[in-house]
Amino acid sequence: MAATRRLQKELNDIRQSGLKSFRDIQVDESNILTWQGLIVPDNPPYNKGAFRIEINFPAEYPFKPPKISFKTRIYHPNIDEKGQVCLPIISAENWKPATKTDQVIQALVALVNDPEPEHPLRAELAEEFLKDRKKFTKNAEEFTKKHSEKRPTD
Amino acid sequence: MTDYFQEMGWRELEDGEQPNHLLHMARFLIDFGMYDDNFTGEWPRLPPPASKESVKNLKEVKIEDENQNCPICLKKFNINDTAKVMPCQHLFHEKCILTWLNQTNSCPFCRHELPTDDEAYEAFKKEKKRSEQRKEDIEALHNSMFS
Repeated sequence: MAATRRLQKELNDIRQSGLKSFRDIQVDESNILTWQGLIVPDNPPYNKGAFRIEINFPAEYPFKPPKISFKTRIYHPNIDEKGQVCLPIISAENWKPATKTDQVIQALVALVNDPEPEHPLRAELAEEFLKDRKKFTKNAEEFTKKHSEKRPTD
Repeated sequence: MTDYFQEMGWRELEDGEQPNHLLHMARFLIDFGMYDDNFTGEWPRLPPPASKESVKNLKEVKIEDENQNCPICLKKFNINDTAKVMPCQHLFHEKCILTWLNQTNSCPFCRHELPTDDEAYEAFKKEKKRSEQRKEDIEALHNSMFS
């Protein structure tokens, strides 16, 4: 399967280069189409924790885009309660096969660090983000402390 | 009259051909601003496959540099492999690029678009270009009047 070969190469490259903001990558040897890892954001209010995500690659990869979902709950205008996230570079209309997974992860980390309230999945959080940043930051910080995972120490 | 037809992107009807009244109605509505962002927007789904003709006409080259890889499968080309070249000069394995172009019409690397066999999509592209041209013309006219 073409997807397997390319994913093996991408996984090796990512593991060798070591992304700072995507750690603890876990891939089941029997199924390379599902990856899990920890997003470690730099910007407050999310820099108090880490967030587990799952990347699901279709069998047709790279002709079809991967799907990303959050396994850790997060207080974020662009990520809903089910963990769904709207990331333009992996939408069906925008996807191109030359896009590599490390670019997708970097786009995701950028979105987590800097929310885009213009295209929200959770309108009420976007509104709070725009109208009362202080309150948003406080809520998001508390939520992060309560629900997020520990940041890797090394 | 040729100039006028060309300017409007029209052609004369062939013998026995009926005018496309629906298209004329749509143009009329757009020109009078009633469907303002219809053709300035984006195609709502994945654009259709590249046309058979354009895929057939893709050029081939022999690989001379062994450090290049195919952006689709990420495998390095072997020297003396033949690769397919898109008009934007990006190279791919034949099998890789044909699979993609069978799905949609743009370069997997830079999105350069090939023609398609889909009439609706081609009409959409034409109208989009037309509306951009119109905007430019109005701006040019405005500038010439007030500068």
